[in-house]
Amino acid sequence: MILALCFLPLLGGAAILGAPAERAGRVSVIATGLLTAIIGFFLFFAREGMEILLWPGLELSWQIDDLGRGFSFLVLPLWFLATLYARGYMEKTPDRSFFFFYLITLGTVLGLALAGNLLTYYLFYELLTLTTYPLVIQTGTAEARQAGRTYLLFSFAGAGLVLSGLFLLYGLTGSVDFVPGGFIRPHLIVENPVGIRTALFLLVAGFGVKGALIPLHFWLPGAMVAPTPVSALLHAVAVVKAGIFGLIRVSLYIFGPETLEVMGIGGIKVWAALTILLGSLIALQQDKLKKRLAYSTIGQLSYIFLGVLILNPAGLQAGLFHFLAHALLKITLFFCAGIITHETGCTRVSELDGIGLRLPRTMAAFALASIGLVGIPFTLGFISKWYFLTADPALSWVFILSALLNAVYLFPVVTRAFFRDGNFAPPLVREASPFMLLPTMVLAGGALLLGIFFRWPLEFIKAIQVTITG
Amino acid sequence: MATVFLLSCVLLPVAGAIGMYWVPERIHKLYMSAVAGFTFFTTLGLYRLVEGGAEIAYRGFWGSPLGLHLEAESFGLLFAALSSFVWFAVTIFSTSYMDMETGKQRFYFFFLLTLAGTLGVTLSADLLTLLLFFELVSLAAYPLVVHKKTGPAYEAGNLYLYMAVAGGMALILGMALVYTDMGTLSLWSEGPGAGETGFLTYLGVGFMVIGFGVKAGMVPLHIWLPKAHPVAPTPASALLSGIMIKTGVFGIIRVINMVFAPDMEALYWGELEAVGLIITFLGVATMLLGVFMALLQENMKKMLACHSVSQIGYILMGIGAAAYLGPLGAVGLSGAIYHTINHALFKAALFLVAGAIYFQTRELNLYRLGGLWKVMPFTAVIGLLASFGIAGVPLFNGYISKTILHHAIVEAAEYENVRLLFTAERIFMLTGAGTACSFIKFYYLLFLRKPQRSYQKIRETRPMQLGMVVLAGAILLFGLGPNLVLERFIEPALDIFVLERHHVETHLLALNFFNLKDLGLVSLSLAGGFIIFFLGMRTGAFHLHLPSWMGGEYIGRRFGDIYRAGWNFASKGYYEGREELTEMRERIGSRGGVVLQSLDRKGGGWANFANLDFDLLLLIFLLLFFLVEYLVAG
Repeated sequence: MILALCFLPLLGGAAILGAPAERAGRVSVIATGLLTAIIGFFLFFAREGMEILLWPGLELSWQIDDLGRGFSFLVLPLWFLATLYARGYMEKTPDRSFFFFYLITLGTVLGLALAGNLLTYYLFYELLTLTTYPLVIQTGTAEARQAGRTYLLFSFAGAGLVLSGLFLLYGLTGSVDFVPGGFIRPHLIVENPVGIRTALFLLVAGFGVKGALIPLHFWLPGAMVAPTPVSALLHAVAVVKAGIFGLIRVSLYIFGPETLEVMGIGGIKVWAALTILLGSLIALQQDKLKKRLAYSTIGQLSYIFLGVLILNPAGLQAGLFHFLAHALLKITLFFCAGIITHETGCTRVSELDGIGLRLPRTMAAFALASIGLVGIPFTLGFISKWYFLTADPALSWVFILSALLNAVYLFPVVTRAFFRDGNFAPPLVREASPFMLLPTMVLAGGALLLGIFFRWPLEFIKAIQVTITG
Repeated sequence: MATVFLLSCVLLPVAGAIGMYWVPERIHKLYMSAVAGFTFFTTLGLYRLVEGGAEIAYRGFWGSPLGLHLEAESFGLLFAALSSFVWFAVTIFSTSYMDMETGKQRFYFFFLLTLAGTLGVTLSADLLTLLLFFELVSLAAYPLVVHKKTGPAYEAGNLYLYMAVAGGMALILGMALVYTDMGTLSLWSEGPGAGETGFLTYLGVGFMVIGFGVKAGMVPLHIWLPKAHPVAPTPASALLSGIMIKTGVFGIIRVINMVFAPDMEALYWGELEAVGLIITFLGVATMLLGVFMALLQENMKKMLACHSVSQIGYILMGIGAAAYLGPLGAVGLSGAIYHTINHALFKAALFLVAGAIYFQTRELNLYRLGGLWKVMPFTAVIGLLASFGIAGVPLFNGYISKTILHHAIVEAAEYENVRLLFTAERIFMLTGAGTACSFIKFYYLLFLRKPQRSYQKIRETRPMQLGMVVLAGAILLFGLGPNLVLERFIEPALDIFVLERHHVETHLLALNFFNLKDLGLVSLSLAGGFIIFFLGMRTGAFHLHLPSWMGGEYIGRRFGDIYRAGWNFASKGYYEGREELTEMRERIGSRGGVVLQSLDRKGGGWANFANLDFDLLLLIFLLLFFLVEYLVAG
């Protein structure tokens, strides 16, 4: 049954391929909508997972736990909105294969979210690279090909690291299942410290590629040549979050907080903290809006990882909450960036003076999302920041410094747009088509509402946290 | 029912702000006045309810991680009533003034949002809720600052925005530290007694003082204030200077005198004493520097903004003295509260005067105006009343609060005979003289001397007059009935602080303001003001300019330069190294690659060593490095 979930999108994909090129967008919207409804409905009620035996002791398995379900519930509506957006964005250049790959990636991500052991996760992790590669090189330019090549190289190298980590882990412990709170008991570390450490390192580095830990991030800014719907959904939510999700699974469902505590993970923490600060610092230097957002993503992703690595309930809640917060806010920002490029052709921040007159709603959504990402009260980012700060006072300066940098690289876009006169001088409101505008507004509004009424997602996250730390 | 009152204080302006985009343009003026008026009367109603002994609180599980906790108590409500009152007056004024500006809808939207935030700050019952509304004020005020969309406005707005955001970050950091240490952020929590407080609480309180200090304009965090306040449209300047900076002061009072203060039974007050001394000196530095800057300004709005810095110094000094004296600090606190009220009234009035003049003449430079009392007699009278207020002329409100503050600093100095506090008292007097001088100059240049240019078609408008006269009335009221005000408004507000009742009665309520000693002191400072004025006008000292390197902005720029240079240096090294390595790789590729390529039949595909991306190479090295490091060090 679960397997059907991952293959249902293929069915939708077939429908897209069957449709005439100019209808591909519409079919794809309908298909994604239907799938979202069906899969959402199923996930809401289903409890039991499934297993496929490949070899004695080696099996593919899926499970429906709260963490995976949370990820799926996050991804599904975003996918629908992003497809709606993509339909508007690709209006002029209909492309069946684009929508095909766009849709079947959903299946891959669901496979990742519900994977029950590391082997399954690894397989879908590889598959994700394959289904998203055509999306990265969609424009077909030399730059896109170059970026695609880097993307492939990094992803395969990363997956290779994961695979070797997986072998090592299996050899040492005889299991790669995801168990809340981890299955590696601290005494194993005493027996074989180097082996366990190496396995952890390989897995972290492997998932760190898609999770964009600096210096494994090189593929991400390059991949921004992809059409914006791809950047928005994949490079803000699905692909990078697959890496982070893997890191969460590894640290909390394989190693577990206690074991990590015993092992000492200061080095990895420093790595994540450096990524946060460096990502924000580099973002500051970018003039291209999408690149700026990409580096911002790099910084923000490590918030999640660092939060999880704090290894106490507050840090865990903060990390998981930021998983949600960053997904909603960053996809909104990318949507806005896409609308800007699509409507005016501007790609650089320095060209945006006065664009608020032309695209008031879009820029208002951008403003809301950037305020949220900086973490100013009444927004999603504030909630996660509060939990980050209270989780570990010793690390709080990292989050504060990074939040300040966030403000410095995001707010100029807003202030330039609204409070500077520029090339858009005559107040001529001409917004994007509703297909693009509506998802953006819905997401910005949803992020605002969730930021104020944050209890519901937080309770869900607390339930997950309880299963892990008890 | 009462909770509805409490919530509507905050929600009414928010709803009003959203409604601004729906009502037709022709009734905008009426609509704005109605919203501001309703808010004022709601606050007043709430005040009456609480005065009658009602306990009104609201706790919602939304908005803030610790729950949104609002409570109406007399001290906060005093601020709330003051804010909504001044807001109401300024709104009436603005209905006429804003005729000269564009983008009124946006302006009023954020104008009302700021009001909601300000009222929220005063009504919050825990620090985190306070922070929520405080940040709302910070952000919503930004569009007001940059409303005119000019270059200087944009620059000033940027400085304001980033300092406000940084202040907000300092606040949230401080609160997180205090929360991890004390486990609560409630205003009513037991303060940290001796020996129980960890280092984190001190650090947290320090960060919070910095965060609130940015908004309050405390030296050396004041640099944004003289830039941002003048560039906004005048109604916004009046509220920025009159009310919004008070949210910072309010926050400092909440943190220092409420959260950080021990309870009555505590034996050891040394920590609060130390913090109090620091705040006192910060306040003294702020008042002196502010008045010094004000004397050198030509732009009248800028001058008024500098005076705001200076007056905030007075208030901070009162807060500090109160904290220093612990349970005996009633005089300092009430002085601070009284002066907060007074400053809000006369500074808003002065800004409105400046705005009325600007509206008629489109001129802000003091030295290019003059003789306005003939053409704008009404504004001249209001200007005179407000100037008397701020200069501390007896029978006007500034005299009262400055006298109380003077008593406070003298009490503090005599408490343990701290030499520095006596110096502070001298500086206090000097600042008084400077303020007097500044407003003699202000009034002389604007209204009294011969006109420097001809004026055409000046007709003072009704809404402007109404707005100003409401404020002037309040100035007179607070100056003529000090003991009534102390008993009726200030004393109930002191209830929430840890103070000795007996001391309140003997030292505060029994104060007689019109005795020879105090009157003598104030005449001394007024006389000093006249002397400085004559000397300054004779020597042209008012036209001096500070060397640019003394400004905080200059220092900030240099830091920016250093950062940029550092970045360029680092990235240059990176790119050069990258190029060099690429070259090396090519060389290796061209020689060694031949061998390798002979093995690799495909040749030129992307997977052979010759084409290996430098990034990947770097990556592998780094990974190896991490691995080794990690295995060795853990």
